[in-house]
Amino acid sequence: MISISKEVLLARLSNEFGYPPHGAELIATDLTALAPALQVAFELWWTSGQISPLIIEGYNIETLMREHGMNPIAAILTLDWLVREPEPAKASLKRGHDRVTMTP
Amino acid sequence: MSTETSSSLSVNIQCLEALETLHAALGLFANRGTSCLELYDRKFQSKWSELTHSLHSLQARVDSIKDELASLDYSPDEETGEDLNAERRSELRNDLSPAQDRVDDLTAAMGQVQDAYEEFQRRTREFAELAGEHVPRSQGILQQHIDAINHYQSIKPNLGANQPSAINMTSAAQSHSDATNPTSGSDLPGSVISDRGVDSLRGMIQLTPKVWISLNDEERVTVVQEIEYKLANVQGRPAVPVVAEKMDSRTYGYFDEHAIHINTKMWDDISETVDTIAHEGRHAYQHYAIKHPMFHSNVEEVASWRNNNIPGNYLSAEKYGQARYKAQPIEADAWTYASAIRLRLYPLGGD
Repeated sequence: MISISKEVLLARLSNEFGYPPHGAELIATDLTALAPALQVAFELWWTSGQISPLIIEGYNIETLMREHGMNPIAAILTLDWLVREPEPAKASLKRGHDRVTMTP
Repeated sequence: MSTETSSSLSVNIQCLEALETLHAALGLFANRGTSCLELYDRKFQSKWSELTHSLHSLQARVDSIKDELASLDYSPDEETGEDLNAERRSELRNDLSPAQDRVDDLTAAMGQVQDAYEEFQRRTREFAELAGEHVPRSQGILQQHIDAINHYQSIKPNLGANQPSAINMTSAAQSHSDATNPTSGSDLPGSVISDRGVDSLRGMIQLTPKVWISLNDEERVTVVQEIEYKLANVQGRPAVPVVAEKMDSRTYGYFDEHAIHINTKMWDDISETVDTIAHEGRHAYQHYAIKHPMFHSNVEEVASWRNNNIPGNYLSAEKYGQARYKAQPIEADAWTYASAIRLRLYPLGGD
């Protein structure tokens, strides 16, 4: 489990990275349950801004940021998915993503 | 082959070609009309912004003159008693009048432009209604005739076997049934709707990889619009325009509640293209279900789509990662639906 408290995560996710309260809660929950290798990568980035070169299933933080437009947090969480469920995660990344804008 | 039969076949082919041309033309009309109106709307917004900026600048100039005039008190020369500010005051008054006239003229002109824009918006809405409802309806009717001719050809295999547009009977009958009962899909489970979606697309020869790769961009736009019409018909919702455009290389497409947008940089693989149109079309279905209570029979599912659609609740892959993005209700549903169609149409891929 990462050494950063959930309260600290929530505060910075909202204040610095602009996540809404509900979104910050989701992200914080996911970050506190990262696979061990990704805990290290996340804490490195969180405390120093450095991007870990860790490669999982052919992806790393930098490629996910560059090729999929993700921010470092989203990239680390995606690598975590690649660790836990490599095949569905790879298939999903291959298909990319879309966006939806609808009035509620 | 008898002369009469040959003549009948020739007439059928001509009818079929004419109907398909009209069908495609309607699709292009709706697609290009929408793109054109959007383009002019953006141009108007840009010009309006420039005019507003000019008006603010002019008004600021008028206010500045008025302020300076108000601050210029009578200031007599000690020797002559002449007002030292008189000349400046006169200059300012000379400047004020034409500046104020320009503000008034521009304000009046902008009022007329605003009236014209409101009329443009009204006509745009009328066009959107035409493109969103009447065009698909007309295309549905044309499709019925196309299907009927194909059906006729298919029950006379010696006559119709070489027709490029001929489709199998099951598909023709299904399309005909769907066209005459456009709300048939709405109360059915997603898997059944996707099954019907697959059936509705099976007759499209343009969806075979070899034919697709030979089509130019304009022809492809017509085909993807046709896919949308067919799937919308099966789902029982109005079709939306499909807009082809260049996007970044990680996006296949998106839905903005008015139209499906597809990335022309990513559409060489027909299986991926069908997946994208089906996926974004499913978002159109969700949007229609949110706006029309009871359209989709599973009210809890609609509630989850509505909640997911509240600002701040949609989880973009860019901020939340691929897993959260894909697991949220509207994306999970769209991925399941589109994947079912793609895998059944292209079990071996679309290259």
